[in-house]
Amino acid sequence: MKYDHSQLLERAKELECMYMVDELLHNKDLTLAAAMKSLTDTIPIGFTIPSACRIKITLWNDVYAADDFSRAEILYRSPIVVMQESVGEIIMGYITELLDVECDILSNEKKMLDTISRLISLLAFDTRRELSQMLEMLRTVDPNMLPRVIEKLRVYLKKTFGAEVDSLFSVIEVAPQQTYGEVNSPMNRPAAVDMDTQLQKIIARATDFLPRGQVHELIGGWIHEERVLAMIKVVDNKDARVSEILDAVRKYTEVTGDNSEKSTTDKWLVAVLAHRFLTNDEKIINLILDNLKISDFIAVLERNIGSHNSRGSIGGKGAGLFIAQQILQHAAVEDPLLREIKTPRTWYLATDQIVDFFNYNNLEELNSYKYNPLYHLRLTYDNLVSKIMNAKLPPRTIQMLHLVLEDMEDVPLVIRSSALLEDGLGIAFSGKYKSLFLSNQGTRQQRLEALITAILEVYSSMFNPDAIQYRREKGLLNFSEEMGVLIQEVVGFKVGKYYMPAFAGVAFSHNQLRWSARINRDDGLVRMVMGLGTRAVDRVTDDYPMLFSLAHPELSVNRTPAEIRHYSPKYIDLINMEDKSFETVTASTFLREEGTRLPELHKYVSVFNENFIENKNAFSLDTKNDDMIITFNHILTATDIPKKLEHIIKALSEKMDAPVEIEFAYDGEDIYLLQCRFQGSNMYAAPAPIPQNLKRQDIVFTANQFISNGLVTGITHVVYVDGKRYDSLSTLEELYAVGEAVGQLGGVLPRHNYILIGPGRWGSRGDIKLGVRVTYSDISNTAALIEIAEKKHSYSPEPSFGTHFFQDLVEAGIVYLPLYPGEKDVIFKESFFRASDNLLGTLLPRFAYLSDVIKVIDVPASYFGRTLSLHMNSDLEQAVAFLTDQEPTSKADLDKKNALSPLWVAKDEQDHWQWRHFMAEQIADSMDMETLGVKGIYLFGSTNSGEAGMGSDIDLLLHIKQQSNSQQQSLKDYLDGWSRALARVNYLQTGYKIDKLLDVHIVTDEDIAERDSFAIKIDSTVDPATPLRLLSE
Amino acid sequence: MATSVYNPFESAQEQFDKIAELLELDSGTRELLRQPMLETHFTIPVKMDDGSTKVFKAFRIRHNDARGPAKGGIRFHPLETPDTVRALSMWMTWKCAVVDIPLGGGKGGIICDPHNFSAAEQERLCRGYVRQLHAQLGPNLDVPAPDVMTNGQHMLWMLDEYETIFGGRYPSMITGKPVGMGGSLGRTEATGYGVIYVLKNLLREMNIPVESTTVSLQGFGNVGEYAARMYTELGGKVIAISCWNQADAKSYTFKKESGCDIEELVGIKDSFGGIDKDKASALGYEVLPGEDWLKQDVDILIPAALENQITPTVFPDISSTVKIICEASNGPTTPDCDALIRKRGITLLPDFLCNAGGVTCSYFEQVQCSMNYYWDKSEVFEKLEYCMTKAFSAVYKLSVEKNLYMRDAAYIISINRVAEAAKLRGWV
Repeated sequence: MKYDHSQLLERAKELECMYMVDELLHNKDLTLAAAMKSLTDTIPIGFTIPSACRIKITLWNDVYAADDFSRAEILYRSPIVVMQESVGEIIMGYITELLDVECDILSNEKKMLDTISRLISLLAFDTRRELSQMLEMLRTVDPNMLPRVIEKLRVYLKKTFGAEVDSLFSVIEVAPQQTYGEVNSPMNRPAAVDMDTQLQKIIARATDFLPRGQVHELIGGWIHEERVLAMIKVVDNKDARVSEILDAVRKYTEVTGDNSEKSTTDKWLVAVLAHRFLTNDEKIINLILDNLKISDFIAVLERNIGSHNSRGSIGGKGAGLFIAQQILQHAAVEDPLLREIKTPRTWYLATDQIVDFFNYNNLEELNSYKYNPLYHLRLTYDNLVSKIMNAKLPPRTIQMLHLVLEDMEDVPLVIRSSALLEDGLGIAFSGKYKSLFLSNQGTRQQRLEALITAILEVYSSMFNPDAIQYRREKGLLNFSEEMGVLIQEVVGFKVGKYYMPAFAGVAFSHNQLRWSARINRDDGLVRMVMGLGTRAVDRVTDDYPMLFSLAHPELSVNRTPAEIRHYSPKYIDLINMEDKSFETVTASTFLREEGTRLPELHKYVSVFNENFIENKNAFSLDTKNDDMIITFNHILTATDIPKKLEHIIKALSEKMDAPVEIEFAYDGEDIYLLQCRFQGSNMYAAPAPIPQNLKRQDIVFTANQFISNGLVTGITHVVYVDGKRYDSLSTLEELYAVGEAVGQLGGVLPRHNYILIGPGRWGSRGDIKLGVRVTYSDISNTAALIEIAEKKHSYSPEPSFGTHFFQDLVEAGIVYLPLYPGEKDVIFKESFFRASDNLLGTLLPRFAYLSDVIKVIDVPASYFGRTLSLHMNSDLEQAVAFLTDQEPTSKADLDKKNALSPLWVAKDEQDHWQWRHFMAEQIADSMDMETLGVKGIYLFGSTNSGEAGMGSDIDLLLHIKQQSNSQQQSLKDYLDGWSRALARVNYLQTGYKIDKLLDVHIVTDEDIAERDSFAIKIDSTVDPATPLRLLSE
Repeated sequence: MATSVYNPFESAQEQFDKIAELLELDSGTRELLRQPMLETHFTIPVKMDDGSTKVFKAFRIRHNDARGPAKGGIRFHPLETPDTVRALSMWMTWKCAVVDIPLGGGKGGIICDPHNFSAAEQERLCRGYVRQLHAQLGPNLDVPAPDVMTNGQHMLWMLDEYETIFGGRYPSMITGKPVGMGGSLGRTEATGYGVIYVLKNLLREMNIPVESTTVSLQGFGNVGEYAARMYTELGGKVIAISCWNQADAKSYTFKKESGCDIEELVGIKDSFGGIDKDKASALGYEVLPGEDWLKQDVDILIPAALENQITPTVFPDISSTVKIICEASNGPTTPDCDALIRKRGITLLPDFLCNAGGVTCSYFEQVQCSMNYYWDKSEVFEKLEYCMTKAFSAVYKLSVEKNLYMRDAAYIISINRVAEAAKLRGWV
């Protein structure tokens, strides 16, 4: 036969291909599947146009093919036959688009494929080899498991093939014993079996019976079951050590690999592990079952700090973070934006270690400490803290802390509480259980000591009287609380002597704050600050964290440069690595001093220049001279960070099937997830229940648009500015006077017990006619700011959302609500405002002429002692204000309140004012009025009106004669002593810390004559002062 | 109480009528000046980010341009009314005339709430405004500026649209631009310095050396701070400064009988621009209630914060030592107080003269843009002082000669100047 050159080339290729195929099929390191897969890549080499050639191999039920095989035009099929039975085929085709010229399959190529088919059938036939391999492997890796697997093999064969199999196992030389029936003589101990020879025999026989090609599947399945069983044994054993469980989990995952499909046993295992290490909450366990795999637990187990017999639970906070982290990791497979979300390195000090700690220090008495009366708790808390702080951690814990410090070299640490109770829905110990920052600087010993001290401090916060009281109110006092501790690296970078994240904050699924009609509740909200997130997590009174809507970062809260500047974050929390302390610095100073060292500062700040906001770049930003304000403009507009946060929140709330809130930090490169919990009670109010079955006549107004959450009860006064009358005022002075009067009413009416209702936009800076001209100080004492948006012509104005002081309202917790009287399904009872008595003239005689415009309504006086309640629910988009008999302090109401908000509420609010009233009388009775030059003592304010709460002071009005200096001093000393003593007692009773409890106002004869300042209180109409003792002339 | 409803435009007309009567203006001039010359009401369709289209109502009102191109801001407000814009445009005419800068008065607005829009949407809105109105804007016609809820960024968008339409560079068509993009230096200081330039001249006329005087100041923002700086530089003593305290949500008066050190107080401004109460106390300042600024025994009161601060109610609190009230903010004294002030013999420097430093600096911006040559700060201040001094002298002279309340004198001068210009042009 003569070949031309091209034919010779083809033959050479075919030969080359066959060599490679042969090599592949004899490579014992390759599994059958891997070998088949490689074949699909190798065979094309032997064809005329390798680049266009595609191969598909089917073998039993498995298919191996090139990715784009479906595009190929099939040219030849070569069957794989084992013992006259077709078990698969090799299919060859060309992708015609890739061919320059038409090309058919050559006869030699067909022969080649047939040869390969035969080789594959031989390999497939070689079950015996496979069986022996598997059993051999098992014998070496886990000899204990071998007999159990053989037993399974026997049962399987017997079940499938019946009696013929018996002969197979008779080769196992074990004398058959009667194992059933009533036999009283003890069995003989079976003779030891020589495993090696037995094994050979079994393999030889079993091969005859076992179905071809199923060896791997069968034996593999049995091994898996055995592994699970081993796991179950360990995991189910309550006394198993954490290290044993870790071993078991590791072995388990090594053998079984990571299957996404979970068997029921897998589920059970996950549930047991979750129970032991993460939580007892059924809802959360369901969540874990849906989202976690057994291997996911390795991360928790590896960094679990506990004694040998620790049960190892990591507590609520730790579990929340861990579960969220796993959910994100799994979700990242399909969502590239979630791929780079990180969590900081975390070690978990198991919750039960606090018990070991007590035992080790003989502090078991503390277990019953929580049952002490609150008074006792407060009195002894300081002592208790120092007792705990002076105790020692068990040596095993300290040993493990060394490991932790080795792992966390050179990064600051945050030591967070992670108590068992911290995971329940709606239970927030925020501010009660501690989180502490450590610079983690110095020698190993110094770092260790700081770490130990911090852990002890977190431990002691479990006995914080507020936390215990809170548990008592929630009915959780009997729960055996245990405090776990998270030791976490602080995300961030070094800036000079400081350490900080670029920014950090909190993100919520539900946005309960709205500053524009275009922002929806489900859009999500972020509260963010530069540096550590502590300022974003808690409500701050002296600062404004940056707020933005996750879905609409472009719709910022503030618009004018002046507003943007005013409402930008002013302080930064960070860690001072030199002083080894947590520090709050003024942003402007810090940025000026450290700006050059702060990487990519231009992404976080803008420059305010002559009423212009400029976003500069790294080269144009002059950190020494520019007036920098924190705006995060670059981050919000030019990075995918808002999108990433949105995806995190969406993925978590979807998987957790509830709105969530997370804490996060950004180190300049990656976003880190720091915490995750259900969005429930947080600094923003929870939705208030909307009472049904209200009597129509009790409802004052309702609303169903742009509702945020809020609950205001016990409203005693309503200030109502009548829109039509306001509109008809004829002079500018009168219009201004309305604003002034509203401001003054704020000083006279009971703080946070009155609400403001008025037309248009409060505080508008445009045409004064479009809203009462007030500043934030004029309204800062109101409990709610309500705008009436009345339709003018066919144009219904959009609410202002309190824009002009939106962030002030947010930080002060003042509720904002727009009303649309005249809209469908809305009640607005005008008679309530028009018909009630108007107190304006009596309260502020100067503004009596505005009585037509401003109505001040004393609700209890006009409505038989009833008060007004305002319930707002953003979930339902409903709000209602109604008259109610219910005392705001009644028990039932309090419980409702507790269920909604985590605010600390005294058991019986009545106590506070009664006690204050009594003490005021005591002061008056015991005062030597003659000597001190006092003519009369009056009581006014909240103690007088019966509204005093635990934080209220006692307002005393002292009418004095002409006093000498020494008299003045004596009076001052006398009252000061009382004031401090009462404040201390109040603290012990309530935990409310104030320096002085008395607020004393002095008036003279002259003041009374001129009705100056507080003198008007003596015969005031609203809340007149009560004489406690008058010196008879 | 009058039965009519308060209307800002009507009350501006009343004010004008009063002066017109004094000036004995003829009916044609009165008719011309008591209403705007040109009003444009139009709509701006804007494509929103979500693909929908929103249509916004907008105005530009030119009250009078007899003395030069109209000048006045553009306001964004959700409840803007034509009458407010009319009143403000008239006020601009008088303000420019009183400082004798060759500009007329105008004002504009768009009914919208910028809080609801993204930056991109606001840009389209600004460009839409200019697209609709371009024929009536221009350096020689009508020159807009920032106002309520608008700022330099909006001005730049508008300028760019204008220049795109007309195919050239016309930086003087709009003011309030950032420095470096056609803005003028010294704008931050201009209003505050202007106040003191005027005050300085008044003291000279009254033969009182500045060094012998004392001031109580309300407000420590841009205007207050720079007024205080300039005044102390001249040797005066600021005894008390009242300003807002963010943390306590109320204002305090900081007092030092020996005189406040302005640098020192600026140094302890908190992050919100107020004076830090504790630090001030540590520095020896007495911390008094906010309203006490008014009760101090000083020669001069400078309200530089909010409108409506000096009312008949608080007027009796003003010390008998007070000789001058210098209105640095807009409308700090209510009209019903004017009579009381006159009766006590206090000299009042009216707001639209006193705080015209701002608009004068805007005019300078336009001038510099036209030349395409920008002055340094000292040159701006030098020219500012010249302008303010000249403006003051005219008003003062008239008030002395005709024994007029200075607010009336200022109105008379400005309205007269506009009326004269209209007459010389042969309009009336």
